[in-house]
Amino acid sequence: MSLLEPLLYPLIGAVAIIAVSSLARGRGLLYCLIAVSSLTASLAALLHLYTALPVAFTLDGFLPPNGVQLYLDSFGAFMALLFVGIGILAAAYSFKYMADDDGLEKYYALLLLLVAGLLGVAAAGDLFTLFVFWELMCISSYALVSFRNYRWEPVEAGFKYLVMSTVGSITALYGMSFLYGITGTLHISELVSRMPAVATPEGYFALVLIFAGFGVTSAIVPFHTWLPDAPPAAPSPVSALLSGVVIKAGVYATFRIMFTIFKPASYDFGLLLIVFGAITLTVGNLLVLPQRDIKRFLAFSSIANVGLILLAGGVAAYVLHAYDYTTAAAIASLALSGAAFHILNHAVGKGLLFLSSGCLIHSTGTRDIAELEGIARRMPWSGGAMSVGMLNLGGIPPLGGFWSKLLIMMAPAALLQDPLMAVCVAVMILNSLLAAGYYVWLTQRLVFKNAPAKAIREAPFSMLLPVVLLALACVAITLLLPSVIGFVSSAILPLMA
Amino acid sequence: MAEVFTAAALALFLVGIYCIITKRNLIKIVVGMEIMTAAVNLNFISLAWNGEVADPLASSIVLISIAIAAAIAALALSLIINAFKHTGSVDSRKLRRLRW
Amino acid sequence: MVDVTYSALLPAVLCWTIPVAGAFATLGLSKVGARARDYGAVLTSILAAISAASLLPLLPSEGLPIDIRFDWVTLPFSEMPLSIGAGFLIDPLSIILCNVVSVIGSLIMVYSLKYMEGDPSLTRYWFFMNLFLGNMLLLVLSDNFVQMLFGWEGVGVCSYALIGFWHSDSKEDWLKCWVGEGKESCPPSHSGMKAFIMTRFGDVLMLMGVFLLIVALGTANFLELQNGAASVAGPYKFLLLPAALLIFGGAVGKSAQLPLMEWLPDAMTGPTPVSALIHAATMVKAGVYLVARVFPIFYIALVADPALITFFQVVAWVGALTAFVAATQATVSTELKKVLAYSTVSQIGYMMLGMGVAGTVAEFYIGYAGGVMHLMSHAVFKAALFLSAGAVIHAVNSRFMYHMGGLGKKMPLTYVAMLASSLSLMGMPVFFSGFWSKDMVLESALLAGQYPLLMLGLLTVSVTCFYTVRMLGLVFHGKPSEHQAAEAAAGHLHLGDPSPKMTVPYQILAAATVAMGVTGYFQREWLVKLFAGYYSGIFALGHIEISEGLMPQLFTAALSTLFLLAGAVPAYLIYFRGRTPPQSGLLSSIRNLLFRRYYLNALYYALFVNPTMWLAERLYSAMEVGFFDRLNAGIAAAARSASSKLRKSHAGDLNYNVLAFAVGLALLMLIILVVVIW
Repeated sequence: MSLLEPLLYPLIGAVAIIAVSSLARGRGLLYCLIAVSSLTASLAALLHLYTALPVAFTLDGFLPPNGVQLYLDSFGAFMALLFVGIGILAAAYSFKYMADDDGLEKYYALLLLLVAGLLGVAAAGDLFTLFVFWELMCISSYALVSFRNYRWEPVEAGFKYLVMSTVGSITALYGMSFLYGITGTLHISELVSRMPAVATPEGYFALVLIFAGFGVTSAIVPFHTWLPDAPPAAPSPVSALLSGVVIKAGVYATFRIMFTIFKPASYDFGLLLIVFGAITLTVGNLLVLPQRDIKRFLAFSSIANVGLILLAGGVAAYVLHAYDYTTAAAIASLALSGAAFHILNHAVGKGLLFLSSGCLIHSTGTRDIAELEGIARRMPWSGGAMSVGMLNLGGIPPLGGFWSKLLIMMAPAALLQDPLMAVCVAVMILNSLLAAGYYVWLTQRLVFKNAPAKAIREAPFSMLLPVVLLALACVAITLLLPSVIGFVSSAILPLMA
Repeated sequence: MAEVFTAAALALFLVGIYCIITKRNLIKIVVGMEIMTAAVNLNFISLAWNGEVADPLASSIVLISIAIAAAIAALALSLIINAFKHTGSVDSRKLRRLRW
Repeated sequence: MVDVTYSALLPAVLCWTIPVAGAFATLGLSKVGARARDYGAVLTSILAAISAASLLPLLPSEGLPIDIRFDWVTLPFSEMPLSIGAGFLIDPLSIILCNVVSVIGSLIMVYSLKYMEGDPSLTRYWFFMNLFLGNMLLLVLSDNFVQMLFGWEGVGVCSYALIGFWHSDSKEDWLKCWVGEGKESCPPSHSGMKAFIMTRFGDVLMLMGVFLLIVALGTANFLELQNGAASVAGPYKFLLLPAALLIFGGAVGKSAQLPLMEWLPDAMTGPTPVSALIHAATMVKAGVYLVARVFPIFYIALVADPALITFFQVVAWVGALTAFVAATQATVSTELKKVLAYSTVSQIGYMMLGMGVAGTVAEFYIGYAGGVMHLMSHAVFKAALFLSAGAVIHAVNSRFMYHMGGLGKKMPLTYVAMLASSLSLMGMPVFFSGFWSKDMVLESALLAGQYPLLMLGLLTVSVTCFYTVRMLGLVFHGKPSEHQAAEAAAGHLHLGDPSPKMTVPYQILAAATVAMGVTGYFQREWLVKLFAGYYSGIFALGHIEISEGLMPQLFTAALSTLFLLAGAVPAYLIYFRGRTPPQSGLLSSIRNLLFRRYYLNALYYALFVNPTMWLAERLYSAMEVGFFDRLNAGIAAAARSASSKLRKSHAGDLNYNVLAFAVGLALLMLIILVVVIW
C-alpha cells in the first residue's frame, strides 16, 4: 500500500472534485483546495517513502513478471519529488489565474490526473505501466492545453500536440513491443537481466523507436514542433507544467530505458544522444532569438535546455561504451549528475519563468515582449522573481544554472583528447554564451527599460506566492550547493549500475 | 509464420505514418493514428506467439492499448469539432496560424 | 577550547558582516529618510566596534590563536579537489587591529554626521564608508591569503571611490576637493585613479609573491604557513626570498612607502573624514599589518633559508628612508592636509623600520611590539590631527596654511586637541603616547646594532618636530591673514569651534593619546610581554627572558629628546616668534627640490602615465574601432541570419511536422546503421 499512496491521492482528489462539482456548484476555491491538499498528501507520502528506497509495490495475485509492478528508486524518487512540487505550485497558482474560466472542476481534475500520470511514470516498474501512466499524463495534457477552447489558438495547438504526441507514444510502444519480442517480458528488472549482452539489430531497432517516440514528448529536434505552439497556447500554470515537467518525463523515460535496459556497455547509443542533443541545443537556442511572444521565447529555450540534458546523457553513455569502466565511471557520474542537476534547475527555473510571465500576462493581457518592456518596474515582485529565474537559466554565477552547466561541461573536458568530447565542449560553451546572451537581453528588456505608461497592478497574492517560492528555491539551490550536488549524485546511481 | 505478421505490422505502421503525413483531412489524420495503433497491437500479438499459445501478457497489453487509443481518438474528434467551429472546415491547412 | 572557539566566532563574523550589511542597508534606509540613513550608518559602525571590543577579553588567554574555518563546497567525482573555504584567524595582532579600526572608525563616522551635512551624495558616502570598514575588518580577520585579498581589494575600491567623492570636479568646489598648486594640482577623480593604479601596481607584485609562497609551502592559510615554514622542501627554498620581497611590494603600495608614495599626498582631495579614516588611521596601516602577518612565517623560515634576512633589512631600510624623505617634503608644504599626509607616510616608515629591525635579531619582540604600538598610537593622534584640521579648514574656508593664522584664541578646543596630538607626533616625553611608541622603535634599532638606521630615525625626529611646530605656528599663531579678512567680508568665515558632534570625536582622540602616554610605560611592557609570550609559542623558543634593561630605554629617550629640540627650536623661533629665517641659495634650491617632491612625481608621469595614454589612444582607433567593433557586428548579423533562415522551416503545417518526425526517425535509423556496421 505504501508506494501506491503517492499515486492514489491525486486520483482520489480528481474523483472527489468531479463528485463535489456534481453535488454542489462549488467555486474554484474548493476545487483548488482539494487539488492542493491531495497533491500535498502525495508529497508527504513520497517524502515518507524517501528514507526507505528502493520501494516496490505489487498487487497480490499478479506477481511479476506478468503482473504490473510499481518500483521507485532514487532516480525515480528525485523526478517524482520534482513533479509533485511543481504540480502543487501550479495548482495553487491556478486559483486566481483561472478564476474567470468556467468548467473549473474539469481543469483541476485534469491537473490532478496529469500529476498522477507523471508520478506513475516515475514509479513504473514495468514498461507497460509506464506506458499506461504516460498516456494518462499525455491525454490530460492534451485536454489541458486546449482547455480554453473558445479561442482558436488552444484548439489548433492542442490538436497538433495531440497528433504529434500520439504518434510519438505509438512509436514508443512499437519499440517496446520489439523489446517484448526479444525478451518475452516488459518488466524492467527482468528486461535488464534478460537482454542479451551483445547488441542485436532488433535491439537497435527498438532503441531507435523508443528514442524517437519519447523524443517527441521530450521535444528533441526534429520532433519538437509541437512545443513552440502548445505551452504558449495553454494557460500559464499548464505551460509551467508542460515545459518544466512533462518534457522532463520524456527525458526520464529515455534515460531510464536506455541506461538500464539498453546498457551503454552493450549498445552504442552515446553518439546518437550526443548528435541529437547538440542539434536540439543549437537549434533551440538559435530559434529563441527572433521570438516576439514571451511564452514562445521560453518554450524554445526549454527545447535548448532539454538538448543540453540529452547531450550530457550522451556524453555519459559514450564514455561508458568507449572506455573501460574504471576511467569512465567518474566522468559518466559527473555528466549524469550534471544532467540531473540541470533537470532540477530547469524544472524550477522554467516553472518560475512561466508562472511569473503568467503574472505579467494576467495583469497586462499581452504576451508581446515589446509591450511588456519595463514591466518589472510596475510589478516588482513578479519582475524580480522572473529576473532570478532568467539569470538562473542563463547560467550566471552564482545561481544554480551556472553550476549545473559547469558540471555538465566538466565531464567531457576531462577527456579532451577525444575529438568528439572536444566538439561537445565547444558546442556547450557556444550555446551557454547564446543562452546567457538572450536571457540577459530579456532581463534587460523587462527590468531596465522605461515602465509602461498605464498603471498596472501587481499580481494577486496567491499568484505571487508560488512565484516567490520558486525564486527562493533558485537561491536556496545556490546556498545549499554542497547538499544539492550530493543529492543529485546519489539520485543517478541507479542509472550507473 | 509469426514473421509475416511482424512484417505486416511494420507495413501497417508505415501506412499509418504515410496517412498522417499526406492526408489533409483532420479526420483522416485520426484514422491514420488508429492504423498505427493497430500496427503496434498486431506486432505485440505476433511476437507473443510461441507456436501454440499466445502469451496472455501480450493480450492484456493489447486490450489496454485499444482502450487508450479509443480515448485519444475521442479527444481528438472533439478537438476537430472545435476546430470546425473556429475555422469552418476540417482541412489541416486551415490550422496553420501558429507558425515561425 | 570549544567554548572559546565558538564564543570568538560570532563577534569575529559580526565584526565585518555588520558594516557590509549596513552599507547595503543604507541604500534602503535612504528611501526612508535622511536622518534614518545617517544614524543607521553610524550605528552600524558602533555595533562593529562593540563586536571588536568583545574580542578583547581573549587577549591574555592561552587559547589564541583561534582559527575558524569553513569549507564551502567540494566538487564530486573529480580528480581535481576544488574546495573553496573561508576562515577567521583570531590572534593578538588581529584583535588589536580590528579594535583600532572599528573604534576610530566609529568616532570618525560620528564626526562625519556634522562635517558632511547637507552634501547631496551622502548615501554614496555612507555606503562606501561602511563598506570600507567591513572590508578592512575582513582583511584583518582573515586566516588565509585568498580571503585577505578580498578585503585588500575591497578597501582599495572603497578608497578610490571615496577619494574621488566630489567627482564633478567643479571649480567652485576647489576648496574642498582639489589638492596641489599650479601644475601639480589634481582634481579628485584624477587623484582617485592615481591612488588606485599605484596601489594596484603594488597589488600585482603582492599577488605574484602570494602565488610563489603558495607554491613553495602548499597552502594559503597563515597558521599552516607558519607551521610549514621551517621545513620547506629543498628546491622551494629559493622561492621564499622573492616571495617575501614581492609581498612587501604590496605593502609598499598600500602604505605609500618609497617608491610608491606619490598617491597619498594627492589623496587629500577626499573629504576630511575620509582622509582621517582611510589615509591616516586604517587603510594605510594595512601594509604594516601585512608585514606583521608574514613576519612569523619568514622569521621561522630564516632557519631554512638564511638569505631571508635580506627581506627584513629591505623592510627596515625602506621604512627609514621613506620616513626621512617624506618628513623633509612636509617641511615646505603649503597645504595643511598635505603636511599631515606626508607625516603619515613618514610615521608608517617608522613602523616598517620597527618590523624590519625586529626580524634581524633574536629579541624580535621589541621591534615587533614597537611597530604595533606605533601603529596604535599613530592611528589615534593622526586621526585627531586630521579631524581638527578639517574643523580649521572649514572655519577659514581655505586649505592653505598661509591663509590661516592667529586661530589659537578663536578656536581654543581645536587648538588644544591639535596641540596635544602634535606633541604626541613629535614624541614629546613623557605624557604622550607618540613618545613611547617612537622610542620603542628607535630602541629596537639601537639594540639590534643598526646604527645607520638609528641615525636616520633620529634625524627624522628632528625634521618631524620642525614641520609640526611650523604647522602649529602658521595655523594658530601670528597674525590673521588677509584671506580671513576677505572671507569675513564675504560672509564665509566661521571662526570658532564647530558643533560638539565634530569637536567631541577629536577631543576624545586627543585625550586618548594623552592617556596612552601617561600609561605608556605599562602599555609598552604589556605589549612586549604579550607578543613575546605569544610568538615564543609559535617560534617554539620556550620561555623568553625579557631583558629588563632600562639603560637602552633611557639612552634612546635622551637621544630622541635631543633631536627633538634640535628640530623644534628653530621652528619655534621662526614661526612662533616671527624671526626671519636665513636666506641662502642653497636653502632655496633645497626648498625647490622638496616642493617638487624630489621630482619623483614628475618622473612617474613622464615614464608611465603619458606613454600609456598615448598608446591607449593609438590602440583604440586602430583595434577597437577598426577591428573589434566590426567583428561584433558581424557575429550578431550571422546569428540573426541563421535564425531567420531556420525560422522558415517552422511552417506550422501539421503534415510537415509529422513528416519531420518521419525524417527524424529515418535519420536515427541511418545513424544506427552506420554505427553498427562500423
